[in-house]
Amino acid sequence: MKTLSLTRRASTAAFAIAMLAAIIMVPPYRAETRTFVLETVNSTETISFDPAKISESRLRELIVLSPFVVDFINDMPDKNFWAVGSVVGTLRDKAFTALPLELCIASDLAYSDCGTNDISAPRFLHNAEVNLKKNRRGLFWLQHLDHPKQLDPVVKFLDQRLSLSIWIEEARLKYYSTWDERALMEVYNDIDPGQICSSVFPKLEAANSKEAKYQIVRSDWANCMRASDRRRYPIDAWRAFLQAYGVTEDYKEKSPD
Amino acid sequence: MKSSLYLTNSLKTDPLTISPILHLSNGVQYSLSPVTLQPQETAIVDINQALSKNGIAPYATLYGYAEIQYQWPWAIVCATVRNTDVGHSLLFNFAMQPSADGFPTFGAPAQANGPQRLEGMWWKQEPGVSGFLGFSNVSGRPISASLRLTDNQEADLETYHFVVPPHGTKMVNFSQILSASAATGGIYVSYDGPAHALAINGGLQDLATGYSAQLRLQPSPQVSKGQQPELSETMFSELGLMSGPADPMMMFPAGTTFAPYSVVRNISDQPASVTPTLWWMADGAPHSAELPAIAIAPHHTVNLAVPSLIAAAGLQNLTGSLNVVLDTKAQPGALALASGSVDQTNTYVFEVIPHGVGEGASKSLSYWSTGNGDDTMVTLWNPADESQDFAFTLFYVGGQYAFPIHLEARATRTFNISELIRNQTPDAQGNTIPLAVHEGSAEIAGSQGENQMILVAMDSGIYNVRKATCSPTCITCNGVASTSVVVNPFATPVGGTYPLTFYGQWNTGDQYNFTNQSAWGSSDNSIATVGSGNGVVTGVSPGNVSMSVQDNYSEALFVSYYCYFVSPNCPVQRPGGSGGGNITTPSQHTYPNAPLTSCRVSVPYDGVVNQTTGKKHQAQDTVGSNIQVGTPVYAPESGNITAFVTGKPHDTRPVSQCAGQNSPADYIEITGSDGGVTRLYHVTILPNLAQMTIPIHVNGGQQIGTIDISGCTSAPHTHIQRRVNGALVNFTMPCDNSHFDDPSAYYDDSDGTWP
Repeated sequence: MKTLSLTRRASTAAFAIAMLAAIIMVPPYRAETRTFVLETVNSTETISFDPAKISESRLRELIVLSPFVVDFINDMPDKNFWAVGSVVGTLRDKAFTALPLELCIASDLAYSDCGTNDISAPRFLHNAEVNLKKNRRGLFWLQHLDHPKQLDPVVKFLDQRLSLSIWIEEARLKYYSTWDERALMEVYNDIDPGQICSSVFPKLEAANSKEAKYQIVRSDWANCMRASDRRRYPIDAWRAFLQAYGVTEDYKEKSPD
Repeated sequence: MKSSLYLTNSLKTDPLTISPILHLSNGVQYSLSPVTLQPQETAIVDINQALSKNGIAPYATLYGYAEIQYQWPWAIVCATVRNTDVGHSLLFNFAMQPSADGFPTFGAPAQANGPQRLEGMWWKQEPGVSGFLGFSNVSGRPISASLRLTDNQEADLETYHFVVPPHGTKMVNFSQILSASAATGGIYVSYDGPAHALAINGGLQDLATGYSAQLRLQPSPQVSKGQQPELSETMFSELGLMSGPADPMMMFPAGTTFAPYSVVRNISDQPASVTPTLWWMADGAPHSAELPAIAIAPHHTVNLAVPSLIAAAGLQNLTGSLNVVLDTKAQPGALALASGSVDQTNTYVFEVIPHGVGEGASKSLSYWSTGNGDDTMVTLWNPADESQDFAFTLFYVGGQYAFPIHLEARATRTFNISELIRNQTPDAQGNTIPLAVHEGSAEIAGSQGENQMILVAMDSGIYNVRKATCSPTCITCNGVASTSVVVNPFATPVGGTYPLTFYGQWNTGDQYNFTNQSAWGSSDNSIATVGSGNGVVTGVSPGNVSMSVQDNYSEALFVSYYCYFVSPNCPVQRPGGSGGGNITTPSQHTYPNAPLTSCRVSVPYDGVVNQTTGKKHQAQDTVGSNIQVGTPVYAPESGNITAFVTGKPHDTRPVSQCAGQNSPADYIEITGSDGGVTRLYHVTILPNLAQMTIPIHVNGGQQIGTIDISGCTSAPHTHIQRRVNGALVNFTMPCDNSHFDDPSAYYDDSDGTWP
């Protein structure tokens, strides 16, 4: 009787065998270098790697953690968080941050009736929930990202910054839904908004319209809360990962014309 | 004779209201009361009682056909008519076939009109067997038909010609096989009309002994003129055949002994071969014996004489349950198969419907029963060379119960549903089947869900020792009933994106998203591109465009009425689809605030910056009155500062030398609440903002920085670009657009390398 196999599982097994053969056949100390490029309108990031040490698909998954990869993430059409980045002199920083409650992209079917994209928009609360769901999906992805141990500090840092920013957006939505200031004063991981952002609350109490309160929370309170975390991207950990896996990055910022 | 209509709603998501109609042989019809079935629910309509309500005496001998009507895009109701003659212990179970204008299989070719030819076989399990066939015309026009019976040497036994009136039924009893010396033979039917216009059901019976078996006819395989048909290899399984003394747990009368049978007919004009393998379980492990191949000439029937095969394999002492697996080589659709087990008195007939073996998704059983002396025996065989985990889920009014089953490679498991009810073992969700539950439907699926690809053969039969009846149950191959690309048509501006989604609609009512496991392509990449692995359309230029998509994987396809024909196996296919749309001229974003006091656009978007290459300026250079290093720059709209660079030096080389030479400049980037990204180059962020943690929310008109001359620039200005999903787009600002600088005066692009 002929043999029957489950084809999808069988193809995985065949791949494993092919990989094993490749590893055996590659002579030692003769590394093959491959490259791929992440291109945006403003930058070019060329990544060179040794496929014997890390596969391209795995590297493509991890490269989004790079301190240089910011535009590339934000230019993707369907994102579950934003990347933010800064360069002051030679000091480079990068983090992941939550999509703000106000984000509403008319061509994205998840949102509806964007209007002014703020508290006065008829579907503001609904669209805010859409953003929070995307944010949680993004955080879930990050927290379940299979990564080498060298990247533990990077993933931990990005996780903490993204988590804090999601918490800020959640607190804002709670406040906009109830207008109860206690939503803005809850302590998060030893961060006490009532203490570190104490100057915001008298301003809030003095505001005489919901629109004014909304703006204060969107700008003053949220900026203050984000400023409570002043840690920087752990660039040494990223470099250790590059070294361990034989990866080099060549990042070039294009000139504005 | 008692007739009942068994109905199962195979949907997991929606209730259905079904209207049964009875058509008597003379074309008279009776509409019965509608039946509403909740998801996965079953119901039985008593046909005798329904006719009685319409004034027809219950003792009248009538025949005809049943029809059901309901609103759903595909044939989702599994319906069978069960005819029981308890007095003679006869039972015939006829599955409803699709109507002539509807075909239940997604992706199946359209059915042809014209002469229809079907072929089947008869066989005599014992000398007193005769047969009958009922021809029901489900169309609105009379149909001329003929029936020819032959013996195994292709000699005619009898030929009938008849006309079936619209919605009428013609019954043909054939006793010629009683006197035929041959033990097997052929049945040929032909008629004019569309496929499925005649519903043909029949059986073999011996009223004296209580023997009954079902006859099935199949469309004759088609061969194009002048083409040699290709032979294909297919595996069929006949599961749970019984050999030797009956299992005491089944409560048969003492001394009941069963013998398995398996009959094969080659209905094609090409030779075929069948290699049987016997599979059985002993000491908890599967065992097998492969037997020699058997050649079957065209239009010949072979009784495989399974007891002789068992003896030939030296397994005379093999008793209990066994599977006959047939590896066949024949023209596709060439084999008609029948199998089962018969006791020594020919009273108890356990018919087993042979099924093709192949990888597929979940399968549904139309009906199970444990009431009124019934029990339902299920046999599962894992044909794969690896172990598999399954979930066998029973559906009944008010709930469901999932029974996990692990099958080692090639192993068989047989169980009675009454055992599952009696055991009262909670499933993973804590459910048990209430003891008062006696009927429902069921599904075998992979442990990861109904759409997991699995390789399993299944058979089940409802038997009743007291009535001496047993009937196989229908199996539905669950899978894709239709596909759709949404939203179709789409519209997005140049530079904009639009995510397309490719869905597979399953017969069970569930939807699966194939978007990211499919290959997408654009009919015109100069109008729009589409992400090969994600279906995201990006507008390139105005125009109409269509996107095609094909799943990278084979998906299971929905086939109902699997018991009607002997099918090779549950089919799989790589579904595809397409969707069209329109790329429109983008409406420009307007910034509410000016970036500079008394601002003026000095070089517009799309202004030519290189006369030689035609390179365009995809940004707006903006200047203000008395602009100089340190002039305040304001946020053109509210949003979040998501990126900034500060501290880049001024490139001291002449612009003609530094242009296009990777001479980065300072910038501030603001992401708006519409997702658009604004970048202002040659701007130093304010120190207090630089010290904050990004993102930093800023209001429109708020000062965010000051003009600098970082990078390659010949004079103070800010170069403002807007990106939407990575593409540069034009915009408007509350600035003077009445006169621009001469680009050739502003830029020195003599080296032609301006980026």
